[in-house]
Amino acid sequence: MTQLTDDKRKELWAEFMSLVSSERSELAGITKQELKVVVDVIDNWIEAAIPSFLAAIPSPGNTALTAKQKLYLFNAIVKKRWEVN
Amino acid sequence: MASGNTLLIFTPLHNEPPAADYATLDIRNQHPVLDFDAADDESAVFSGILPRHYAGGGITVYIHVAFSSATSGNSVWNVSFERICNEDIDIDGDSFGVVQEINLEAPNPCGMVKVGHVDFTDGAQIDNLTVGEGLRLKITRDADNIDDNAVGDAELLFVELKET
Repeated sequence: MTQLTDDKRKELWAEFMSLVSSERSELAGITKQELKVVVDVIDNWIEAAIPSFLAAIPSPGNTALTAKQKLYLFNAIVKKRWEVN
Repeated sequence: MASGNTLLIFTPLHNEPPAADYATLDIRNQHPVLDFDAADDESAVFSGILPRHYAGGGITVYIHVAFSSATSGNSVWNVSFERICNEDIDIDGDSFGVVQEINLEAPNPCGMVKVGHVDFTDGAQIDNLTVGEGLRLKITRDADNIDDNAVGDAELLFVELKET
């Protein structure tokens, strides 16, 4: 799972701004450019954290699941937690 | 009539959107607004006739804007006129004149409306418009301008043209 290109990050940044605009969620004290930095930092953090995440899964899951399957579960768990809170 | 008089008023329902990259009609608490994206340059176009009481001076354009999410930051707007006159302009193409810029800060709290303006001098800046001629006014949020840093959509509510 490769890191996002800058175009993909911009796409995500624009989608997030459209989302908060459509919900009229207030975003105080941050500029568009600073929000783009947030997207960059999150993607960079994920890139750096992936190896330790994959290594942290014990066997037999570690060997039975592909990296993509483990990351699918990671994404699904974050999504569920986000929906609850 | 002369200086200080309102010449034309446009609201979101007057918009004649361009074929692409257009501001989107929306409603905020039943107020019609035109949403201008924060990531891409989007435009709205309004047309009218320069009223007979126009006395030949400059024209000041006022825009009334709210923001969907931002409570700080700046937005940059480009405004230009296009003259549509008797047997001189081919409407198969666009011929907007020189762009003038408005910088408008997002008001706080969210939901407040901020008014900004820019003065066009008589002549080339208004595409040499004269009284009784047709015109189009193009308003673009210059979202990729480095000085446009307000997060999220900007919402245009009203446009007023006043003789400067």
